[in-house]
Amino acid sequence: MSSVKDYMWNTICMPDLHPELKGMLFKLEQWPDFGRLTYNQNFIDLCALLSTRYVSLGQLKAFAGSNDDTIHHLLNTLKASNLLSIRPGENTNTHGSKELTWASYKQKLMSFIRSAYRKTEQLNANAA
Amino acid sequence: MLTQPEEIAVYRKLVVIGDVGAGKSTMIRTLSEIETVDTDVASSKNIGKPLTTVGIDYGRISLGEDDAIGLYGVPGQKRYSFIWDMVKEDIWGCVLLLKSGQMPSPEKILELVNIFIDDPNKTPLVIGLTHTDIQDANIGGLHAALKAKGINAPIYSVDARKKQSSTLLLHTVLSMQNAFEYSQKQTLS
Repeated sequence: MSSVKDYMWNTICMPDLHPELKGMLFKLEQWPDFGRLTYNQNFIDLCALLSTRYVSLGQLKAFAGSNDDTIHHLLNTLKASNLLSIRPGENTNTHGSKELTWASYKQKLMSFIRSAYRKTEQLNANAA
Repeated sequence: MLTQPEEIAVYRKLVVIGDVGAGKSTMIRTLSEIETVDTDVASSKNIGKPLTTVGIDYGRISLGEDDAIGLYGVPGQKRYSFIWDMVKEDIWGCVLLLKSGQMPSPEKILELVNIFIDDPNKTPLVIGLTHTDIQDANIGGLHAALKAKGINAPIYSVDARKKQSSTLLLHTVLSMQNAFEYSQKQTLS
């Protein structure tokens, strides 16, 4: 991964949604190689939903609980990397958006994953 | 009298498939909270490592007192298909590890995936490419073959020895599970 690409992915330098993406529905054509990028953990959740079908900004927000800047940055970067398909569409309803809850075992697994990320970050920080 | 509904323990199966030396045992050891159960023996051929798994690797991630994710490492070679039959039922997620530089053809990979995944819109598939520090792989053909079958699976460059890589693979399986569930709810609503 070139340093330019890595910079583009992990630095929120494009918090405003690109004008071409406004009012559109989005679908992920191909996953970025997060094994080679310094990624934001929210990107994994957002890409997972984007990989299923065309979704709206509202659905992304409801699913991942991410802030606007993070979602806009991901969409802009995916578009710039030719990994995103877009099509015009209504901002469809976000069924159960506020009360979105996952099964208890999934919440526990997410805690395990977050803890694993934290441990890795600490190890990396100590090694630096 | 009202009684509390009894909590049902949840057990989910995450299967890690891969050929010799792809990093299955290492990944499971990296994630497991218990001492992994493996069936490593001294390899009779030069495969670049002294030990190889001839059966199944088993590890476990405990989630509280009752819930757990079982980690099953399964060899990808056809001669081990009797092991596939033992683990392929009710799979929650599938991680396919491919050794860069020794990748099977996309057709062979799809054949293997089809054995473990009945419906790619219900069971997540995440692909990890290992040993990319030694040799880069051309994955254009694999991407195209998966797409032709309607499978949008991530293909990550990973190092099974690193917790960050194993965590990324596990995180993606969980996120895809959530996305399938959410997407289904949206379609039904």
